[in-house]
Amino acid sequence: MNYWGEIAARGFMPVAVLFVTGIFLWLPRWTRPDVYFGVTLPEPFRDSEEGLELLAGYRRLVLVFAAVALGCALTGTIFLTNVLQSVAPFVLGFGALIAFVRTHLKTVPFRVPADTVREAPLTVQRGRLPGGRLAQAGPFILLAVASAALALRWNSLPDRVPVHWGLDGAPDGWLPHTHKVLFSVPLIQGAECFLMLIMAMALLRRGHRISATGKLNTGETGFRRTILRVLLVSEYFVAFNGAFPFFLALIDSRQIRRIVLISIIVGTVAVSFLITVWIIIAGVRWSRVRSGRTSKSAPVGDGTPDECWKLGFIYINRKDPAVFVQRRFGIGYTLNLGNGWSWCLLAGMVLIILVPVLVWT
Amino acid sequence: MSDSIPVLKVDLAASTPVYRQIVSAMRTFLVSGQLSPGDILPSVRELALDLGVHHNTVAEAYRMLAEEGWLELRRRRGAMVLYRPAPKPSTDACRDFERRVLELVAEATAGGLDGKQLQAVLKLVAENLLDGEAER
Repeated sequence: MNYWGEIAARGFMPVAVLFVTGIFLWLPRWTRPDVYFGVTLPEPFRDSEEGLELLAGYRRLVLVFAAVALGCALTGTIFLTNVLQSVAPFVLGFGALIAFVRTHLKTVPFRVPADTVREAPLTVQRGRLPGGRLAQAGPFILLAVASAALALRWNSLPDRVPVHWGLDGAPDGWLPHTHKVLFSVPLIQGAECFLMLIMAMALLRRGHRISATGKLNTGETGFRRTILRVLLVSEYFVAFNGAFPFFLALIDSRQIRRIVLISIIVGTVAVSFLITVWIIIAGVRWSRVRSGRTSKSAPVGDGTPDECWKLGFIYINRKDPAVFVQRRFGIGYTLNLGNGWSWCLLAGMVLIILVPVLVWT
Repeated sequence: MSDSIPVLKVDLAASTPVYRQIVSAMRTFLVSGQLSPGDILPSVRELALDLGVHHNTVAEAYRMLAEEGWLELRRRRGAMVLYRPAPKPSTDACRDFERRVLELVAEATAGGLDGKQLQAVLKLVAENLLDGEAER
């Protein structure tokens, strides 16, 4: 690929940095109205003078880190430096985290006690995973088909099997022609899908619910459904990632392979962007649901005690049987590290990262 | 179960233990007919999750209600409300009830309620509960 082609391909990173910076700047406004920078506060606080001042301080710090990240991304793009390109998202992510924690500590003095009343409907309310069993089985079927295709072509495969290609359609990554290594690809992707399925089930059956009735309950149920759908889409995405190299290897024409590859890259970026926007829309809609309480009554909060939130974003509560609770920084759910099952899920995630490194290198 | 789903509320900061609050609230739903024989209640884990309390707390409450004859506990499938005919009141039960009402009335009087207000509230509560019992 020529120099300008490389720059065009790498130009994605500065654009992504700008997009994610925008998200970080608005993130504190996309939480429950009575939780602000990880602290339970009355609903009107975020629009008060102090609330806006805290937000401005957070944004200033995020912008400083965003400028550094953008500098890294642009320099990496112009001088074709991989390290600088890879560093940019970390600078931005850690910078936003530092800005959040700093603002959280400044917000803590304004904390008010949350309502201690909890409610639960006395009826069996087990939700179902989206799409039913067939949709949930889809990713595994896709990987099974890829494995079957691999087994059928086993004897015709070269000693080094291409599994990664450059934008010009030429292979630039290979795996040895052994059962252990090649079949580990669909197996590991299958394990990833399985972990996501377990996470979806844990969210459905072991996820904390803030309210059992009213608007809060309706809003929360809708939001959880969206997150479950996102998880399902992500499972298909992972399964496709594991399956497509084997299908792509079937294509002999380099030109067609190139078109397919570019379509896949564009599709991946588009899907990632759409999923992010989808989560943001659902999160913003959910954050706008008001509890209907007056400013004088205790805020509902998110139904979790403030003292169990370390630095405003790590939840550790041994008394709470929930595995997942709503995030206080960001949109979605986080693990309750006071629950043993959360550690099992974390161990599963670590294994899924480590096993490919051990098998493929 | 009546048309509207009964919602159990507990106060985690109250001086009364949570399992006792659960027993009292559920007994009220059972006596008033908001929960009727055959109704399936959420499992211990499900209810504990919603209330944000340890599952032993809910298990203890369910066990107490089962001992009173209100519930049949089903492993991993929640609990089912049973038909429970009212037992003949013992002298001890009457005396205990009188003592508790007396305590409550004293508390309410100290809080400023007069005799007429107390009478009206007690009458209303008794009527509501007895209506539910008659329906059952």
